[in-house]
Amino acid sequence: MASSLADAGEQSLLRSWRRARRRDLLWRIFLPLAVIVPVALIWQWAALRPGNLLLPTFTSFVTRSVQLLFGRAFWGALVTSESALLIGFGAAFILGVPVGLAMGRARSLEGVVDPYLNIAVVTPMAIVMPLLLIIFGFTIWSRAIVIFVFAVPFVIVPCRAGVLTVPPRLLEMARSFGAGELDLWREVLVPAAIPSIMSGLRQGFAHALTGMIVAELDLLAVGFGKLLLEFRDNFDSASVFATVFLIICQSVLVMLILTQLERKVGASRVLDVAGGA
Amino acid sequence: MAIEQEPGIRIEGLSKRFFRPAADGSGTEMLHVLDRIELEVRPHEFMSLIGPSGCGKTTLLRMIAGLARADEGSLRIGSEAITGPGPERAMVFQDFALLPWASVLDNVAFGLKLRRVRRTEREATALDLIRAVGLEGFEKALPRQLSGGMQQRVGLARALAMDPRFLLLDEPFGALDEISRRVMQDELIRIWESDKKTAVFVTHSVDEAVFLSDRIVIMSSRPGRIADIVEVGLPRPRTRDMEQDRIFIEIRARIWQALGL
Repeated sequence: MASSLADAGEQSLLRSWRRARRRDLLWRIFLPLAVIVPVALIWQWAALRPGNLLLPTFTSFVTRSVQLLFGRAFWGALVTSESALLIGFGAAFILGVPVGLAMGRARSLEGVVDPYLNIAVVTPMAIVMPLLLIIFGFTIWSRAIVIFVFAVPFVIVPCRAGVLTVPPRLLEMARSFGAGELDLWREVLVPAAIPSIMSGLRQGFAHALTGMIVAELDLLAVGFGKLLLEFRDNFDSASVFATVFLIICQSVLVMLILTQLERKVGASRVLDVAGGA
Repeated sequence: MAIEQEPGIRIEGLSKRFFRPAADGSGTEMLHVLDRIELEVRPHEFMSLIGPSGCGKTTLLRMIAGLARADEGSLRIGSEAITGPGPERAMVFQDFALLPWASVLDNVAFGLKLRRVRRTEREATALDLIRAVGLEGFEKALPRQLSGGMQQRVGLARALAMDPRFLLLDEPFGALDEISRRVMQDELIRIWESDKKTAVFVTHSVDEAVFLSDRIVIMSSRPGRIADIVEVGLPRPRTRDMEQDRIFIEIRARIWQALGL
């Protein structure tokens, strides 16, 4: 019968689709391995060559990573470092979002803030760190402020863009239905800017992490910075490698979560309104 | 019961100019978009504004909506001057202007929400109108999941949800394909004829204007002036076979003539 024939056809299609998916999955596991395994082998070989003093072996690096992950030193450093991160980035986000949104709406504010924003974006923020040290001393606040300064432009810029790209037509529509300025914010501008705010969260966080590490290495050796410098001074290079690796893992993990969050929020809020005449 | 004279819209001596950088780069150029417009929109009539691009018909509609200011002259509803948007007027936009993140239900209820109507109440009203425009079952859909015609049904329902006395439509079917356009014209005329809200309808389409309207205002461009006003003497309810009617064909010819084409 025709229906059973269709079923057979469908079943073979389903089978080949499943095969393709399995193959896909295999490649996704295999390809990264194809990179990691040779790197590990070459690393191990280079470290075992006679005359090598500093490069740790791959195996000692892995052992140290695991030890650090389950030891107290790493987690202690994490708490110290990231309490400053929390303060600095928290402030950057809480302040940057409204400032960015308001800049997108008010030309006058844009005129006031924009020059500083440009300076902040183009200047390597590391050069202001000595100034901060002079002003705030060796406290958690000076680290927090470095982090703030690193992060805040990258929160502001996407938020401003988010408001600037709201189709004027939507604002006009809302006004025609009687919306005041407050209604415009609540019903149109903020909902429309949410994907941009998420993007600011992610970009700002990436720069905050940079600020955190830079501050601890160059300004005030505490937390991760202290850990790294101590390991280095003891010629414990396996621990230096392991610490760097764990910090990278942590950043990647957080960024992954933020990207997922951004994607989830963004998917339901694609702006697809044409400009119109 | 005393019969109260319901006010229409009275437009007197209305002028509007825009300034823009001159096309040849020699300083500023002035566009006389509207020039001393005198017009009365009668209560419960369906009036169309038709004219070439740049004749100021959309500007005129935006002024009635309270979204643009006049340089000279006045617009009044009864004795009250129009100074901004008001709850007795609701607009339907050419490009729909729906909130892309909001469901059909929330879009239709948008105006009521701005008017601080309670959620249960505004959703009940919105559901009624979603049914009226034939979108039952799409309450939870997002605008981008709908076709252009369906999106404009949402736009129409959103305006009707305000229960306005004046319905302002800015080329509402201009972005639709020919077939959807015809379907939407039928839909609009069916809804409009059921309670005859005063309607001002901007269009580029002569046939559309004749099919829908009681009166058609023909405008000329630069400066925007009223070239002619035509009464459409076709009976209501309007049906598609009227397109073959002698009156329909004569009015169409007269409009093209007034447009100078």
